[in-house]
Amino acid sequence: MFSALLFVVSLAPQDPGAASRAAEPLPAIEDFAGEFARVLPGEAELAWRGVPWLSEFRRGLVLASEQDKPVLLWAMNGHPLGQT
Amino acid sequence: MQELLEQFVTVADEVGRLQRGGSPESDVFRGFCEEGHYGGRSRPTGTRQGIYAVAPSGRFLASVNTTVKKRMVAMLREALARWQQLSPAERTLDPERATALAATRRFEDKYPEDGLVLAEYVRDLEAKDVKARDWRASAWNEDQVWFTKHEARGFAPVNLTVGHVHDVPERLVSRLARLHLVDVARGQTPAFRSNHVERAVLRSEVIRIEDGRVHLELRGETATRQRGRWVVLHRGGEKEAHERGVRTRLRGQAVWDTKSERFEEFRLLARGERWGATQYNGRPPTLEPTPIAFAFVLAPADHPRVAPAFFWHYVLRNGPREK
Repeated sequence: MFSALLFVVSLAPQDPGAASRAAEPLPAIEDFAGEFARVLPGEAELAWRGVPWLSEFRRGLVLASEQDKPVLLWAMNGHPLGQT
Repeated sequence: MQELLEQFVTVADEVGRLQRGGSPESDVFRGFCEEGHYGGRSRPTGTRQGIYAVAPSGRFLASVNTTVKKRMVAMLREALARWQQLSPAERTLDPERATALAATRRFEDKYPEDGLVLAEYVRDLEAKDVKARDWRASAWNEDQVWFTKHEARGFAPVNLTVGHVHDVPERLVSRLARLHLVDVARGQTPAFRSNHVERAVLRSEVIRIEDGRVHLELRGETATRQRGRWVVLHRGGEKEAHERGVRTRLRGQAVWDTKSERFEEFRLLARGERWGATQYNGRPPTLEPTPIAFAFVLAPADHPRVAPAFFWHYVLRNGPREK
Protein backbone atom coordinates (compact mmCIF):
# COMPACT_ATOMS: atom_id res chain seq x y z
CA MET A 1 0.00 0.00 0.00
CA PHE A 2 2.79 2.36 1.00
CA SER A 3 4.69 1.77 -2.23
CA ALA A 4 1.49 2.26 -4.24
CA LEU A 5 0.87 5.56 -2.46
CA LEU A 6 4.43 6.61 -3.06
CA PHE A 7 3.99 5.85 -6.77
CA VAL A 8 0.83 7.96 -6.99
CA VAL A 9 2.49 10.85 -5.14
CA SER A 10 5.54 10.66 -7.38
CA LEU A 11 3.33 11.01 -10.46
CA ALA A 12 1.66 14.14 -9.16
CA PRO A 13 2.69 17.30 -11.06
CA GLN A 14 5.26 19.54 -9.41
CA ASP A 15 2.89 22.45 -9.69
CA PRO A 16 -0.65 21.20 -9.11
CA GLY A 17 -1.90 24.76 -9.75
CA ALA A 18 -0.90 24.50 -13.39
CA ALA A 19 -3.58 21.91 -14.07
CA SER A 20 -6.34 23.94 -12.44
CA ARG A 21 -5.35 27.10 -14.30
CA ALA A 22 -5.31 25.13 -17.52
CA ALA A 23 -8.97 24.28 -16.94
CA GLU A 24 -10.06 27.89 -17.46
CA PRO A 25 -11.72 28.53 -20.83
CA LEU A 26 -9.45 29.76 -23.62
CA PRO A 27 -10.38 33.09 -25.22
CA ALA A 28 -12.05 32.92 -28.63
CA ILE A 29 -10.10 33.68 -31.81
CA GLU A 30 -11.68 36.94 -32.97
CA ASP A 31 -9.09 38.32 -35.42
CA PHE A 32 -8.35 35.13 -37.38
CA ALA A 33 -6.41 36.77 -40.24
CA GLY A 34 -4.31 38.96 -37.97
CA GLU A 35 -3.46 36.22 -35.50
CA PHE A 36 -2.72 33.75 -38.27
CA ALA A 37 -0.32 36.18 -39.97
CA ARG A 38 1.46 36.79 -36.67
CA VAL A 39 2.57 33.15 -36.45
CA LEU A 40 3.95 32.88 -40.00
CA PRO A 41 7.71 33.43 -40.36
CA GLY A 42 8.92 36.61 -42.02
CA GLU A 43 11.17 36.85 -45.06
CA ALA A 44 14.31 37.32 -42.94
CA GLU A 45 13.43 34.24 -40.87
CA LEU A 46 13.33 32.16 -44.06
CA ALA A 47 16.47 33.62 -45.64
CA TRP A 48 18.29 30.27 -45.37
CA ARG A 49 15.88 28.84 -47.92
CA GLY A 50 17.69 30.98 -50.51
CA VAL A 51 20.21 28.13 -50.70
CA PRO A 52 18.88 25.33 -52.96
CA TRP A 53 18.98 22.61 -50.30
CA LEU A 54 18.14 19.07 -51.34
CA SER A 55 16.29 17.36 -48.52
CA GLU A 56 17.81 13.87 -48.70
CA PHE A 57 21.47 12.89 -48.41
CA ARG A 58 20.99 9.95 -50.81
CA ARG A 59 19.92 12.31 -53.62
CA GLY A 60 22.75 14.71 -52.87
CA LEU A 61 25.40 12.01 -53.25
CA VAL A 62 24.05 10.90 -56.63
CA LEU A 63 23.63 14.43 -57.99
CA ALA A 64 27.06 15.53 -56.79
CA SER A 65 28.67 12.54 -58.48
CA GLU A 66 26.88 13.36 -61.75
CA GLN A 67 27.95 17.01 -61.55
CA ASP A 68 31.49 16.30 -60.27
CA LYS A 69 30.97 18.51 -57.24
CA PRO A 70 31.53 17.94 -53.52
CA VAL A 71 28.53 17.62 -51.19
CA LEU A 72 27.84 20.14 -48.45
CA LEU A 73 25.73 18.33 -45.87
CA TRP A 74 23.87 20.25 -43.16
CA ALA A 75 22.93 17.55 -40.65
CA MET A 76 20.99 18.45 -37.51
CA ASN A 77 18.97 16.84 -34.74
CA GLY A 78 15.61 17.23 -36.45
CA HIS A 79 15.54 17.89 -40.19
CA PRO A 80 17.01 21.37 -40.87
CA LEU A 81 14.26 22.00 -43.44
CA GLY A 82 11.61 20.88 -40.96
CA GLN A 83 11.37 20.67 -37.19
CA THR A 84 14.68 21.08 -35.34
CA MET B 1 29.67 32.94 -49.38
CA GLN B 2 27.13 32.45 -52.19
CA GLU B 3 29.92 31.85 -54.74
CA LEU B 4 31.49 29.25 -52.48
CA LEU B 5 28.17 27.47 -51.90
CA GLU B 6 27.55 27.25 -55.65
CA GLN B 7 30.57 24.97 -55.94
CA PHE B 8 28.80 22.34 -53.82
CA VAL B 9 25.65 20.27 -54.06
CA THR B 10 23.89 21.46 -50.91
CA VAL B 11 21.92 18.95 -48.85
CA ALA B 12 20.13 19.15 -45.51
CA ASP B 13 19.12 16.04 -43.60
CA GLU B 14 18.30 14.68 -40.16
CA VAL B 15 21.42 13.52 -38.33
CA GLY B 16 19.86 10.88 -36.07
CA ARG B 17 18.67 8.83 -39.00
CA LEU B 18 22.05 9.16 -40.72
CA GLN B 19 23.98 8.37 -37.56
CA ARG B 20 21.97 5.35 -36.44
CA GLY B 21 19.99 4.19 -39.48
CA GLY B 22 20.50 0.97 -41.39
CA SER B 23 20.37 2.41 -44.90
CA PRO B 24 23.22 2.85 -47.39
CA GLU B 25 23.20 6.63 -46.92
CA SER B 26 23.64 6.06 -43.18
CA ASP B 27 26.61 3.82 -43.98
CA VAL B 28 28.15 6.64 -46.02
CA PHE B 29 27.62 9.13 -43.19
CA ARG B 30 29.09 6.85 -40.54
CA GLY B 31 32.05 6.33 -42.84
CA PHE B 32 33.21 9.93 -42.49
CA CYS B 33 31.52 11.58 -39.48
CA GLU B 34 34.16 10.40 -37.02
CA GLU B 35 36.74 12.41 -38.98
CA GLY B 36 34.71 15.56 -38.32
CA HIS B 37 34.41 18.11 -35.54
CA TYR B 38 32.60 15.80 -33.09
CA GLY B 39 34.55 12.64 -33.88
CA GLY B 40 34.82 10.39 -30.82
CA ARG B 41 32.72 12.69 -28.63
CA SER B 42 30.16 11.19 -26.26
CA ARG B 43 29.48 14.09 -23.85
CA PRO B 44 27.33 16.06 -23.38
CA THR B 45 25.76 13.98 -26.15
CA GLY B 46 26.97 11.67 -28.89
CA THR B 47 25.42 13.72 -31.68
CA ARG B 48 27.39 14.25 -34.87
CA GLN B 49 25.30 17.18 -36.03
CA GLY B 50 27.00 19.92 -37.99
CA ILE B 51 28.04 20.89 -41.50
CA TYR B 52 30.16 18.45 -43.48
CA ALA B 53 31.87 18.71 -46.85
CA VAL B 54 32.46 15.33 -48.47
CA ALA B 55 33.17 13.89 -51.89
CA PRO B 56 30.33 11.82 -53.44
CA SER B 57 32.58 8.82 -52.79
CA GLY B 58 32.11 9.47 -49.06
CA ARG B 59 35.63 10.81 -48.59
CA PHE B 60 35.79 13.43 -45.84
CA LEU B 61 36.92 16.94 -46.81
CA ALA B 62 36.15 19.26 -43.87
CA SER B 63 33.49 20.00 -41.27
CA VAL B 64 32.35 22.48 -38.65
CA ASN B 65 29.38 23.16 -36.41
CA THR B 66 28.99 26.92 -36.30
CA THR B 67 26.77 29.84 -37.17
CA VAL B 68 29.79 32.17 -37.48
CA LYS B 69 30.19 33.18 -41.11
CA LYS B 70 34.00 33.50 -40.94
CA ARG B 71 34.42 29.95 -39.66
CA MET B 72 31.98 28.63 -42.22
CA VAL B 73 33.81 30.31 -45.10
CA ALA B 74 37.14 28.93 -43.85
CA MET B 75 35.69 25.41 -43.78
CA LEU B 76 34.29 25.73 -47.31
CA ARG B 77 37.65 26.93 -48.67
CA GLU B 78 39.51 24.13 -46.91
CA ALA B 79 37.06 21.60 -48.36
CA LEU B 80 37.43 22.94 -51.91
CA ALA B 81 41.22 22.87 -51.65
CA ARG B 82 41.10 19.19 -50.64
CA TRP B 83 38.57 18.44 -53.36
CA GLN B 84 40.98 19.78 -55.97
CA GLN B 85 43.61 17.30 -54.83
CA LEU B 86 41.37 14.26 -55.35
CA SER B 87 41.59 12.04 -58.42
CA PRO B 88 38.37 11.29 -60.35
CA ALA B 89 38.24 7.84 -58.76
CA GLU B 90 38.55 9.35 -55.29
CA ARG B 91 35.68 11.75 -56.01
CA THR B 92 33.08 9.59 -57.67
CA LEU B 93 30.27 7.59 -56.10
CA ASP B 94 30.87 3.86 -56.40
CA PRO B 95 28.34 2.34 -58.89
CA GLU B 96 27.35 -0.41 -56.45
CA ARG B 97 26.71 2.15 -53.76
CA ALA B 98 24.73 4.28 -56.23
CA THR B 99 22.50 1.27 -56.93
CA ALA B 100 22.04 0.65 -53.20
CA LEU B 101 21.17 4.33 -52.61
CA ALA B 102 18.60 4.24 -55.39
CA ALA B 103 16.95 1.27 -53.70
CA THR B 104 16.81 3.04 -50.31
CA ARG B 105 13.33 3.55 -48.93
CA ARG B 106 12.45 6.55 -46.79
CA PHE B 107 9.18 7.84 -45.36
CA GLU B 108 9.47 10.74 -47.82
CA ASP B 109 8.61 8.21 -50.56
CA LYS B 110 5.07 8.22 -49.10
CA TYR B 111 4.63 11.96 -49.77
CA PRO B 112 0.91 12.34 -50.52
CA GLU B 113 1.12 14.03 -53.93
CA ASP B 114 -2.65 14.01 -54.37
CA GLY B 115 -3.50 14.52 -50.70
CA LEU B 116 -3.26 17.40 -48.26
CA VAL B 117 0.14 18.66 -47.12
CA LEU B 118 0.19 21.51 -44.64
CA ALA B 119 3.17 23.63 -43.70
CA GLU B 120 3.12 24.17 -39.95
CA TYR B 121 4.63 27.07 -38.00
CA VAL B 122 4.69 27.51 -34.23
CA ARG B 123 5.77 30.35 -31.99
CA ASP B 124 5.29 31.71 -28.48
CA LEU B 125 2.87 34.61 -28.22
CA GLU B 126 4.79 36.05 -25.28
CA ALA B 127 8.17 35.36 -23.74
CA LYS B 128 8.30 37.24 -20.47
CA ASP B 129 10.75 34.75 -18.98
CA VAL B 130 13.65 35.83 -21.22
CA LYS B 131 15.20 39.13 -22.28
CA ALA B 132 14.13 40.65 -25.59
CA ARG B 133 17.58 40.00 -27.13
CA ASP B 134 17.55 36.34 -26.09
CA TRP B 135 16.95 34.04 -29.10
CA ARG B 136 14.11 32.41 -27.18
CA ALA B 137 12.14 35.66 -27.23
CA SER B 138 11.52 35.27 -30.96
CA ALA B 139 11.93 31.52 -31.32
CA TRP B 140 9.79 29.68 -33.85
CA ASN B 141 9.75 26.24 -35.35
CA GLU B 142 8.11 24.41 -38.22
CA ASP B 143 6.96 21.02 -39.38
CA GLN B 144 4.63 19.62 -41.99
CA VAL B 145 1.44 17.61 -41.74
CA TRP B 146 0.49 14.91 -44.21
CA PHE B 147 -2.93 13.54 -45.08
CA THR B 148 -3.59 11.12 -47.94
CA LYS B 149 -6.25 11.90 -50.54
CA HIS B 150 -8.65 9.61 -48.68
CA GLU B 151 -7.90 11.35 -45.37
CA ALA B 152 -8.13 14.86 -46.87
CA ARG B 153 -11.72 14.12 -47.90
CA GLY B 154 -12.44 13.74 -44.18
CA PHE B 155 -12.10 17.49 -43.68
CA ALA B 156 -14.93 18.24 -46.13
CA PRO B 157 -18.59 17.41 -45.50
CA VAL B 158 -20.21 14.70 -47.59
CA ASN B 159 -23.40 16.76 -47.54
CA LEU B 160 -22.38 19.83 -49.52
CA THR B 161 -25.18 22.20 -48.61
CA VAL B 162 -24.72 25.63 -47.10
CA GLY B 163 -24.97 25.51 -43.32
CA HIS B 164 -24.16 21.82 -43.02
CA VAL B 165 -21.71 21.07 -40.19
CA HIS B 166 -19.38 18.09 -40.41
CA ASP B 167 -17.29 16.44 -37.69
CA VAL B 168 -13.78 15.80 -38.98
CA PRO B 169 -12.84 12.19 -38.06
CA GLU B 170 -11.27 12.07 -34.62
CA ARG B 171 -8.22 10.15 -35.83
CA LEU B 172 -7.28 13.05 -38.12
CA VAL B 173 -7.73 15.71 -35.42
CA SER B 174 -5.87 13.46 -33.00
CA ARG B 175 -2.95 13.37 -35.46
CA LEU B 176 -2.79 17.14 -35.20
CA ALA B 177 -3.09 17.11 -31.39
CA ARG B 178 -0.60 14.30 -30.73
CA LEU B 179 2.07 14.94 -33.33
CA HIS B 180 1.79 18.60 -34.31
CA LEU B 181 0.32 20.65 -31.45
CA VAL B 182 3.42 20.04 -29.38
CA ASP B 183 5.57 22.53 -27.51
CA VAL B 184 8.52 22.83 -29.91
CA ALA B 185 8.78 26.63 -30.29
CA ARG B 186 12.15 26.55 -28.49
CA GLY B 187 13.32 23.00 -29.08
CA GLN B 188 12.44 19.40 -29.60
CA THR B 189 10.00 17.51 -27.42
CA PRO B 190 8.42 14.05 -27.68
CA ALA B 191 5.04 13.60 -29.34
CA PHE B 192 1.98 12.90 -27.24
CA ARG B 193 0.43 9.44 -27.23
CA SER B 194 -3.22 8.60 -27.78
CA ASN B 195 -3.87 8.28 -24.05
CA HIS B 196 -2.63 11.87 -23.53
CA VAL B 197 -5.36 13.30 -25.78
CA GLU B 198 -8.18 14.72 -23.69
CA ARG B 199 -9.97 16.53 -26.50
CA ALA B 200 -9.58 16.57 -30.29
CA VAL B 201 -12.57 18.12 -32.02
CA LEU B 202 -12.75 19.90 -35.36
CA ARG B 203 -15.91 20.80 -37.27
CA SER B 204 -16.16 22.15 -40.78
CA GLU B 205 -19.20 24.17 -41.84
CA VAL B 206 -20.19 24.91 -45.43
CA ILE B 207 -20.32 28.70 -45.74
CA ARG B 208 -20.92 29.03 -49.48
CA ILE B 209 -20.50 27.13 -52.76
CA GLU B 210 -19.28 28.73 -55.99
CA ASP B 211 -18.56 26.81 -59.22
CA GLY B 212 -17.92 23.58 -57.40
CA ARG B 213 -15.70 25.28 -54.85
CA VAL B 214 -16.94 24.72 -51.31
CA HIS B 215 -15.93 27.39 -48.79
CA LEU B 216 -15.56 25.94 -45.31
CA GLU B 217 -15.16 27.43 -41.88
CA LEU B 218 -13.26 25.31 -39.35
CA ARG B 219 -13.70 25.45 -35.59
CA GLY B 220 -12.61 23.15 -32.82
CA GLU B 221 -10.56 22.47 -29.71
CA THR B 222 -7.70 20.25 -28.61
CA ALA B 223 -6.25 19.32 -25.24
CA THR B 224 -3.35 17.03 -24.45
CA ARG B 225 -1.80 16.30 -21.10
CA GLN B 226 0.96 13.95 -19.95
CA ARG B 227 1.98 13.19 -16.40
CA GLY B 228 5.00 11.13 -15.50
CA ARG B 229 8.64 11.19 -14.55
CA TRP B 230 11.32 12.43 -16.92
CA VAL B 231 14.53 14.47 -17.08
CA VAL B 232 14.33 18.19 -17.75
CA LEU B 233 17.57 19.92 -18.74
CA HIS B 234 18.91 22.52 -16.26
CA ARG B 235 16.90 20.95 -13.43
CA GLY B 236 19.48 18.29 -12.63
CA GLY B 237 20.07 15.02 -14.39
CA GLU B 238 17.55 12.99 -12.43
CA LYS B 239 14.04 12.03 -13.40
CA GLU B 240 11.41 14.07 -11.59
CA ALA B 241 7.61 14.14 -11.53
CA HIS B 242 6.32 16.44 -14.26
CA GLU B 243 3.21 17.39 -16.13
CA ARG B 244 3.16 18.88 -19.61
CA GLY B 245 0.32 19.78 -21.89
CA VAL B 246 -1.03 21.87 -24.72
CA ARG B 247 -4.59 23.03 -25.24
CA THR B 248 -5.84 25.12 -28.10
CA ARG B 249 -8.83 26.59 -29.81
CA LEU B 250 -8.90 25.92 -33.54
CA ARG B 251 -10.23 28.23 -36.20
CA GLY B 252 -9.68 28.15 -39.93
CA GLN B 253 -10.88 28.61 -43.47
CA ALA B 254 -10.61 26.21 -46.40
CA VAL B 255 -11.81 25.83 -49.96
CA TRP B 256 -12.58 22.32 -51.25
CA ASP B 257 -12.68 21.80 -55.01
CA THR B 258 -15.28 19.11 -55.70
CA LYS B 259 -13.95 18.50 -59.23
CA SER B 260 -10.33 17.76 -58.33
CA GLU B 261 -11.27 16.60 -54.82
CA ARG B 262 -8.47 18.70 -53.40
CA PHE B 263 -8.18 21.67 -51.12
CA GLU B 264 -7.36 24.86 -53.01
CA GLU B 265 -6.92 26.77 -49.79
CA PHE B 266 -6.43 25.68 -46.21
CA ARG B 267 -5.54 27.86 -43.26
CA LEU B 268 -5.92 26.68 -39.69
CA LEU B 269 -4.88 28.52 -36.53
CA ALA B 270 -4.48 26.75 -33.20
CA ARG B 271 -4.09 29.24 -30.39
CA GLY B 272 -3.90 28.40 -26.72
CA GLU B 273 -1.32 27.58 -24.09
CA ARG B 274 1.41 25.11 -23.25
CA TRP B 275 2.80 24.18 -19.87
CA GLY B 276 5.49 21.96 -18.41
CA ALA B 277 8.81 21.00 -19.96
CA THR B 278 10.74 18.10 -21.41
CA GLN B 279 14.45 17.46 -21.71
CA TYR B 280 15.32 19.64 -24.69
CA ASN B 281 12.43 22.04 -25.34
CA GLY B 282 14.02 25.03 -23.62
CA ARG B 283 11.23 25.74 -21.18
CA PRO B 284 12.74 25.90 -17.72
CA PRO B 285 12.29 27.95 -15.67
CA THR B 286 8.85 28.53 -17.20
CA LEU B 287 6.73 25.52 -16.42
CA GLU B 288 3.64 27.71 -16.01
CA PRO B 289 1.07 27.95 -18.80
CA THR B 290 2.07 30.54 -21.42
CA PRO B 291 0.38 31.41 -24.72
CA ILE B 292 1.44 29.63 -27.89
CA ALA B 293 0.07 29.52 -31.44
CA PHE B 294 0.35 27.16 -34.40
CA ALA B 295 -0.48 28.06 -38.01
CA PHE B 296 -1.16 25.45 -40.70
CA VAL B 297 -1.26 26.49 -44.33
CA LEU B 298 -1.40 24.60 -47.64
CA ALA B 299 2.23 23.83 -48.51
CA PRO B 300 3.26 25.59 -51.74
CA ALA B 301 4.68 23.52 -54.60
CA ASP B 302 8.26 24.56 -53.79
CA HIS B 303 7.98 23.78 -50.08
CA PRO B 304 10.70 21.37 -48.82
CA ARG B 305 9.52 17.77 -49.00
CA VAL B 306 10.64 16.44 -45.67
CA ALA B 307 8.89 13.88 -43.53
CA PRO B 308 6.78 15.08 -40.59
CA ALA B 309 8.95 15.23 -37.46
CA PHE B 310 7.13 12.28 -35.86
CA PHE B 311 6.69 10.30 -39.06
CA TRP B 312 7.18 6.99 -37.25
CA HIS B 313 3.87 7.62 -35.44
CA TYR B 314 2.03 8.23 -38.72
CA VAL B 315 -0.52 5.71 -39.92
CA LEU B 316 -1.52 6.97 -43.37
CA ARG B 317 -4.68 5.43 -44.78
CA ASN B 318 -5.56 5.29 -48.44
CA GLY B 319 -9.08 3.98 -47.90
CA PRO B 320 -11.56 2.85 -45.27
CA ARG B 321 -10.01 0.70 -42.59
CA GLU B 322 -9.80 -2.92 -43.64
CA LYS B 323 -11.66 -5.37 -41.38
